[in-house]
Amino acid sequence: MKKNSRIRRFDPGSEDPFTVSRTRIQNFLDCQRCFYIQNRLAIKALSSFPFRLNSATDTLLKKSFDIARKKQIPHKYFKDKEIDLIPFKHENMDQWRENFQGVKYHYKKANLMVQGAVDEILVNKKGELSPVEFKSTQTKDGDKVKYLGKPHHKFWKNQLEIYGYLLEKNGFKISENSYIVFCNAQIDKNDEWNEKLDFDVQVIPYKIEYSWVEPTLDKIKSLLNQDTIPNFSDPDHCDVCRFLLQHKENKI
Amino acid sequence: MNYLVLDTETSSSSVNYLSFLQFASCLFDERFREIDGTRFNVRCRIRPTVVPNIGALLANSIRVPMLQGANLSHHDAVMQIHTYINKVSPVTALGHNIISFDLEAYIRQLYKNLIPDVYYLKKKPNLVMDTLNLARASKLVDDKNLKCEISPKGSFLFKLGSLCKANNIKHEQAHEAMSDVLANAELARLLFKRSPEVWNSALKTAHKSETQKVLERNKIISHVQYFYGRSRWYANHWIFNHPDYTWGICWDLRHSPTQYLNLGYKALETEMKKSPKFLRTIKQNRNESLLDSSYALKAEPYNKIGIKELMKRVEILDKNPKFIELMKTILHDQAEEKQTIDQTELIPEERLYKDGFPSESEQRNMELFHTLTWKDRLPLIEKFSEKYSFFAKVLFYEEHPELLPKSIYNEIHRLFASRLLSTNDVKWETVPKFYKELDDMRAKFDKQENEDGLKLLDEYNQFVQEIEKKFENA
Repeated sequence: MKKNSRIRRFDPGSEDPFTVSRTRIQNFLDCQRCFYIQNRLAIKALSSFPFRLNSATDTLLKKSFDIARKKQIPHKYFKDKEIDLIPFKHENMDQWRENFQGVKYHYKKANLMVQGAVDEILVNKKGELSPVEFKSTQTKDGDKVKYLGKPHHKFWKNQLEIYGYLLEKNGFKISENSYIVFCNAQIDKNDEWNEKLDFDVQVIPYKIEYSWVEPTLDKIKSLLNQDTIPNFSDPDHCDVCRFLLQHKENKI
Repeated sequence: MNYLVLDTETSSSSVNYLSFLQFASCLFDERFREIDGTRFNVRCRIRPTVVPNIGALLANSIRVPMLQGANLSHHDAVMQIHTYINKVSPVTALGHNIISFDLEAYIRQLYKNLIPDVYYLKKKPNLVMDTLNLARASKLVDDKNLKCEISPKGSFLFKLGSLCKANNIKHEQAHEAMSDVLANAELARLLFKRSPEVWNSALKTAHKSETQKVLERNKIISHVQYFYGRSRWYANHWIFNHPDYTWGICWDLRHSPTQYLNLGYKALETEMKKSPKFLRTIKQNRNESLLDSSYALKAEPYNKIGIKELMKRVEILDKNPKFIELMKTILHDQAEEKQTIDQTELIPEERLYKDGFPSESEQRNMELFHTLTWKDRLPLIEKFSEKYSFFAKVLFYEEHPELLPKSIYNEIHRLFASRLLSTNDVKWETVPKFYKELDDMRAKFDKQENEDGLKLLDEYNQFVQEIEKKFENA
């Protein structure tokens, strides 16, 4: 109970903007009931395991892009693909990449503080910014990832679009091209464990379009303002709702 | 999930016996934006065991040099298509009349080319959507959603070419597969924008298990049915799945169930056969248009009956399980009777659904088949069960006849000679049927003074004469 009291909770009477991170926007899109319970009733959602290895690759990638930023040259992954973009130099770059900080924008209409920590930002010759997201995993279907067709790829696309929205609202010109740097650990190449992982790296382009963000923020605000808990989501789309519904039906 | 818009051009419309001539597809993202580098277009030679339908050739504007001289053989084309789809999946496969035609034709090509899992495009996470169903539902929901040409009989036309023309959609060459794919994608984009409610409903019925959920979760569902050239609303209540075919069986709520509740077997059976039928069928795997109840409730006669009475009818049906059971029994008996009457022996090409899935050992042999060279595949012919052994022999006959032992070559050669030269009323295209169609078409072109058409017919005639010559001394 003590822990729960630390969760950020929306207070309908408060005049302070309520912060919604890009993760919370995704939570809202996934399940309105769970979002409400978490943000309005301040009941913490089940935690997932921390992805330390993924964070480690993110950190190393960021360092590697920082070198290219310092020299103001395209990073090798982009150079190899003949994409003429260089890492964006800005005094707030570290803050924008920091979790719980990120790029921020106060969407006054709904009084929401929107926030998202971007992995990297590139800039083209016209001064337009392209958000970049790093993803690392191990999959046999690495070749298919470039089509971004699996259901969970929708989260990646939403992520890039929210970053595009935030950067535009911070006064920058945004390119329609965003990128995922996808690092796929290769486990078939080495028979022996040599205390290292090799990665196949792909630069996957995605055209962003973020007109959906503000209407979604309006819906979030309207949900937060309501006094009733929304119905259970389609059990196929929310594991928590399915679990609770099955318990309810079995009267456990 | 991405949309894979696809189209096939084929030698005829009989899915069991046709040959692919062209296959094209392209990948689009959730917002219907084309994904760069995903256009896929293959043409292939006609299978040597197939006589084309003259109407199909004319519609597809396929010339004989293409039938004989395309770079790929039919088997190679099917394998390339299979590899491509696997590479880009999971996808929502989308096409115009894809459910009844393109997908069924594709599944049968996989079946005859010894692919173990022929249904993979119908399996989750893949989904299938049909723009023909979408267009019909969209037009019914709001006439302004889609412009349609009118047929001489006064009904709306939903053919792809016609819809493109009426809605100013660029369609460079009708019945050229890639041109159809791009036009179909444009039509889909238009439907996606103008009728989001129809689109989202169609997404919910894009897989049979999802459709089942829609049926079970809604007391009343609006169902769009299209027949006699017109779409109509039905307010249906799902009551059970057909005991033999597993189709959804629904009660059309325009009928009050009260008068039927106490009928005995015979009397109820008689009533079930009468038109308009109170039982409606919804096939879960056909991407049928099932929308929120509000749509049908606004239409006649449901708007006059009123929601209160309709819900009362639903309640009566739900509270009379014996009545439901009796209808199930009647449908089961009818299915059984039909099976007893229909004793026609099916040829291997027609036994896809009847025989069910291949056994595990059969599947292993199929997988092995595709890893070997043609020469090394030969011993596998004997390892397959009768049906798949037949398909393997046909593949050799079509692709590498020189590798076949003389006895097997002769067996297949004679079989296709008897099939293709048959003068009986068979389901596949035959040489005699072709000549009859050719004569009819010649008369038509003569009358129209269509010199180019006549020249084309001469080309086709020569091509089929060669097929005839190949088989006549078998």
